[in-house]
Amino acid sequence: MVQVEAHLFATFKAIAGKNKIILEVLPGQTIEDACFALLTSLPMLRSHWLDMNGQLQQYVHVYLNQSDSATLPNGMLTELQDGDILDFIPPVAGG
Amino acid sequence: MNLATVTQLQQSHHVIKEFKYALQPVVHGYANRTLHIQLDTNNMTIKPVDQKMKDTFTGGKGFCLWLLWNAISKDVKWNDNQNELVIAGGPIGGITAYPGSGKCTVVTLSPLTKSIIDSNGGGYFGPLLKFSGFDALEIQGKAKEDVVILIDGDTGTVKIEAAPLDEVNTHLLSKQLTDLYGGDTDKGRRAISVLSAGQAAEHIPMCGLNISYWDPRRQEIRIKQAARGGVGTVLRDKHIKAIVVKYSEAGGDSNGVANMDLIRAAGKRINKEIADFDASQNDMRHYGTPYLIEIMNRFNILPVQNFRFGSDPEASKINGEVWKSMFDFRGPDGCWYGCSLQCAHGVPHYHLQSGPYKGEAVFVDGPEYESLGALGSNLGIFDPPAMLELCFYCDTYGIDTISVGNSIAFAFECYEKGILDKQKTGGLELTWGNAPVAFELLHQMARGEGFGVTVGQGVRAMKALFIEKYGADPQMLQDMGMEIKGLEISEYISRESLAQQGGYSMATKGPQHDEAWLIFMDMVHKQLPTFEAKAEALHYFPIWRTWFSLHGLCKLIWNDIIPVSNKTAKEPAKIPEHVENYCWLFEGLTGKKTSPEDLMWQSEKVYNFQRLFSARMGYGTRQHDYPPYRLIGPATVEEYENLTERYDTQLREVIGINPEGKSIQEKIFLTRQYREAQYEKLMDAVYLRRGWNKDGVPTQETLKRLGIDMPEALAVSAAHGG
Repeated sequence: MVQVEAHLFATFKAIAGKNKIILEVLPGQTIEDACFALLTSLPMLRSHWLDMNGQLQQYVHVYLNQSDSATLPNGMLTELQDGDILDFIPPVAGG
Repeated sequence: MNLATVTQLQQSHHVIKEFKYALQPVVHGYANRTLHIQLDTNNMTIKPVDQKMKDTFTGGKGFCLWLLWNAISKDVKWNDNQNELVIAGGPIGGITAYPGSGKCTVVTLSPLTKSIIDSNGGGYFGPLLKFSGFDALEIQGKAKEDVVILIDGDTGTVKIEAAPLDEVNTHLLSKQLTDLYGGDTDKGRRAISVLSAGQAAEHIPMCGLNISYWDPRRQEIRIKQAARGGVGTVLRDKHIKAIVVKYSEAGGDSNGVANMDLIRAAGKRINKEIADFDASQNDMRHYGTPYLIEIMNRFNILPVQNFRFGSDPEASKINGEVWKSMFDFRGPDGCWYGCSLQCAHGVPHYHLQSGPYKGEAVFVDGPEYESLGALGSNLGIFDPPAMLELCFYCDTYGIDTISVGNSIAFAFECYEKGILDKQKTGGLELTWGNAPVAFELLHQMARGEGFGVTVGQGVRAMKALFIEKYGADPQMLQDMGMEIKGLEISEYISRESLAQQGGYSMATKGPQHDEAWLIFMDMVHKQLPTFEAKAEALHYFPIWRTWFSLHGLCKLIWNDIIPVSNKTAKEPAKIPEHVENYCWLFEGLTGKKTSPEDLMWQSEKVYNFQRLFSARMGYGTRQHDYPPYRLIGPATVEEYENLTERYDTQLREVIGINPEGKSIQEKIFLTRQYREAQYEKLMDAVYLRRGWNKDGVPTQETLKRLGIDMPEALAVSAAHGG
């Protein structure tokens, strides 16, 4: 199994009631897989993160080792490695 | 504390001058006139607003700039009789069907930057001023004694009243004047908005304005700030204790709109979005802006110890949830009617630890992210009660939290570096995290004595003083003094975002995040990979963000809630659905078909006019657009060593230099050479995109294209090679 540390920030942390969780995913599984694994562990986030089609809302920003997943060559389909850190952060716009 | 009672105030307020004017309704968002008060002669004049003024300057900040341009000559200084304080809401401002519609903008010659400053704040003043009959208020000259100006939109009366017994500090003065003019009912008090500064504005140039409104649920006076650039210092320099506006009949139809259905449609759409998604996104209704602390800390963007570092393990002590647990949720937190985002939180029953009000329980508005960054992490203070103490006294004394936070941080670092010592500071130990010393500096600023007054002059003045008086190294102070154009930089570290460096440094008024906040787009989301992309963003976003202060609107509604449609938007950073809402608002207001391009057109005129105005006053050119090096890269060994791996990797992979075997000093030098050259290239690209010449001045062609080609404007451009 691949162990990944997931960090939750701001609103997401408040909804989940915790700021960190260790996820175990299968070798070859992706950021997207980890998101759904996280939602299985923390189901209180489901109504906030998923749209009517069961897809992640676009305002759930996921960062792999501090890089925005949207900027990675394979995006949310990037395969995870043991020890990776995922940050889940709500949209940030600045005053 | 013995305060003058309402009866005593009534007896002491003698009317110096009374002026009657005809009441008339607002039509399509405009009162169609402005009020000019000449305080030294007590003369009051009404000026018409014609269609050309509306077409060229739209309203709000645009009107303020145009009125000031016509009122002062190029040699005027901030404290000359001729300088004006100009205040305006905006045409859309005051509607209640769309959230965040109660802002006003203040424009003047700044005592801090010496150039044109604009600062905006919430509260009721802007809408009530317009409903009372004026799109803008100009105040020129200085009163011979301390006065209160009352604009009474219920009776069509303006009064200049001597105010000898009124307090100066905002939390007391706002209460006194709300009671005096509003009586003892909620309806009466809600009709009042008081604009005031505070005691420190009599001594230091970094004071802002507090804008009040009555909160009936909590039975409290609430305040928002137009904090930046010394607009409050100008108020007190004119011997004004407060400007009060009174209007009792504000309602959903006070703006005389052309198509209320269209405005309601925009309001319905955004209000549903906030209801559906705020709790899942930023939960502004419970956290306000302090939610940003932990995120900025995570991305190494939170200023720590005078912007040397970007994170601190103690930052969690001032995180959003800390404030949520302290906020008073007894009632809605909008700073104008109809705001559903409701981010204007406050902490009740805080017992002051220091100063003239020590031991009293007070209501503290905020704190906001910027104040927490400036007065918390940037000073190494992570104690929530200390934050409340600092925020309360900054507000009531009228001090801008950003400017004073950066100024104290600069003094702390000078103390650490041995430039200052206890002898020079009057016995104060300026050490990181020393909250009692920070309290005392604020009290000294208010009393006008001690080393606090030196700190209160701001970073630029301190640099000059410490070089001249204490022989400090000019380059070192330039590198670590976190100001541009004389205005202290707002609370984001931009070292890894070239676009944000440009956003701060090329902002005409000075480095304020409300004009350009590109740090996440650039550094985190990597949406601006080329110079052209950065230049385009530095064209679009500052102009777009300017639009809000033309209309009396709050920017948070635009970008602190994200619609579902953004998922498929071509340019999600612009939030097209919300831009469409704003088109509906302006079209609903005026009845004129409105496109996103029309909104940008309104704003681009004013944006360029402000730049040209600054050039006319001797600023607003390339030489004024350079940041301190700490904003661009690691200025000291400790900063480099804090992120050695990052900087070494950049040397190797981006700059093409092998860092092996090089000293830290050498690596700092090489990094600096590269980053400063990048910044120069960015300036060229941005100026070109904005239609400015190499000196950063709008060209004649640009002025003509935008229809701001008045003869004097063309002459200013020509004088700068435009």
